[in-house]
Amino acid sequence: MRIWALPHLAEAALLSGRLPELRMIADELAPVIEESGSPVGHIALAYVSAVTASEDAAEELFAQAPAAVGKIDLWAKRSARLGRNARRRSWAARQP
Amino acid sequence: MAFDLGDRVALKRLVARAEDADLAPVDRSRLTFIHDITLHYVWTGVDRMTDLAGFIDEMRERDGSAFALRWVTSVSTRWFFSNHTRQVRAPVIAAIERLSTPENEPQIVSALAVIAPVERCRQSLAQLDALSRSSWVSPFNLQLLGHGANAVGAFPLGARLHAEAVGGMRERGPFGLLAQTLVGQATSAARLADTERRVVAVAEARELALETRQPQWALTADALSAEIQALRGATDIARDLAAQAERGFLSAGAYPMLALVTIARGAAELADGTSARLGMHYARSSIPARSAITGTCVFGRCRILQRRHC
Repeated sequence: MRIWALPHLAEAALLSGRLPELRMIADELAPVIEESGSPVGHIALAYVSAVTASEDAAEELFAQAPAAVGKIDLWAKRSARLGRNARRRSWAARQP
Repeated sequence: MAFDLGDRVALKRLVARAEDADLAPVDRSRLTFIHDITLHYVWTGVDRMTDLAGFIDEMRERDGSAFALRWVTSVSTRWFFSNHTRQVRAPVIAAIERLSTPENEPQIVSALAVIAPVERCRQSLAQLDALSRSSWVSPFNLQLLGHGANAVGAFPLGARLHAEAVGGMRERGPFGLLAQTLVGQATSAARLADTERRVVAVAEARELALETRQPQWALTADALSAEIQALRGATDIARDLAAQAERGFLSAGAYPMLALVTIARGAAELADGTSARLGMHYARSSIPARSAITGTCVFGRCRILQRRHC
């Protein structure tokens, strides 16, 4: 069930500026996801990679995230959209 | 069977008759569990299930593998949410794999997916995929497979299997199980953020769960409904539903199920854009490791855990 919450957690981390903690949790879950082969786990990890990436790399990672698990589904598409929007909101909030 | 059918009168009569009988420990344990999940919804704690492996072996020798497998299937959902450690799961997995059943038997495929979502995930995914293409699987077993697919995080497959099971059960029942299947369908929908079509479905799940007197499934429907409403932006409704589910789960001592409430509240905060202000509560160090909440209490408003542990 921990994996279920990871996408929401990623968005909360992005908005609250807690990306190091998010990365720590993702790193902790990564071996479990790798061992299991959980589809949603792989999507979630790809999503975390995208939201914790630099601005330049983020767009490409968002585009790659669904393809990385070999399946584009509603959840992944929606998450990618939310993530991009959240990144933009977060970036805009930091501007003078 | 009486529970699956939603026949409360028959259920009470049968349980009362069994309670008066001189039962072996394994049967007394089964009766207690049946009582807890049917007549009086209480969560007696995860430690009470740590002898499951021994009971599976005992039932296999005494009653046969098919009987033991049915029991495993019955307890698998609670086992999943109890989030047992790998050490506790290992003997149960071994006991399940000692059962003499075909590898593609839907019940054992589902049981391993739900009880061992990490250790047997890859194997389960392959078997679920193969079974999802088979035409001989009954609605009852489709529901189990859908449950298994959700457990291993294959939500698109879970949504499809649940939908097919619902279609089959609407015609003939059993209606108690139909309520559970609708909740399973709502679980897939919530994870897939498939909100528009599922608002009605989850409401039906709740109504049917209440009608068939399955309060635990009504509460689960409330928690899922809260998340779905949050994803739609109806955050006031989401918070009310989350509070409603929380009260029920707390009353029953079903603390592991509060993970669903936490996810719903987190989704509401995100929808309101308040997560930045609230921050995240990394409460993992102060929460019992085997609680399913462990990894999900990460949002700003995890009131229960703040009260209990912080």
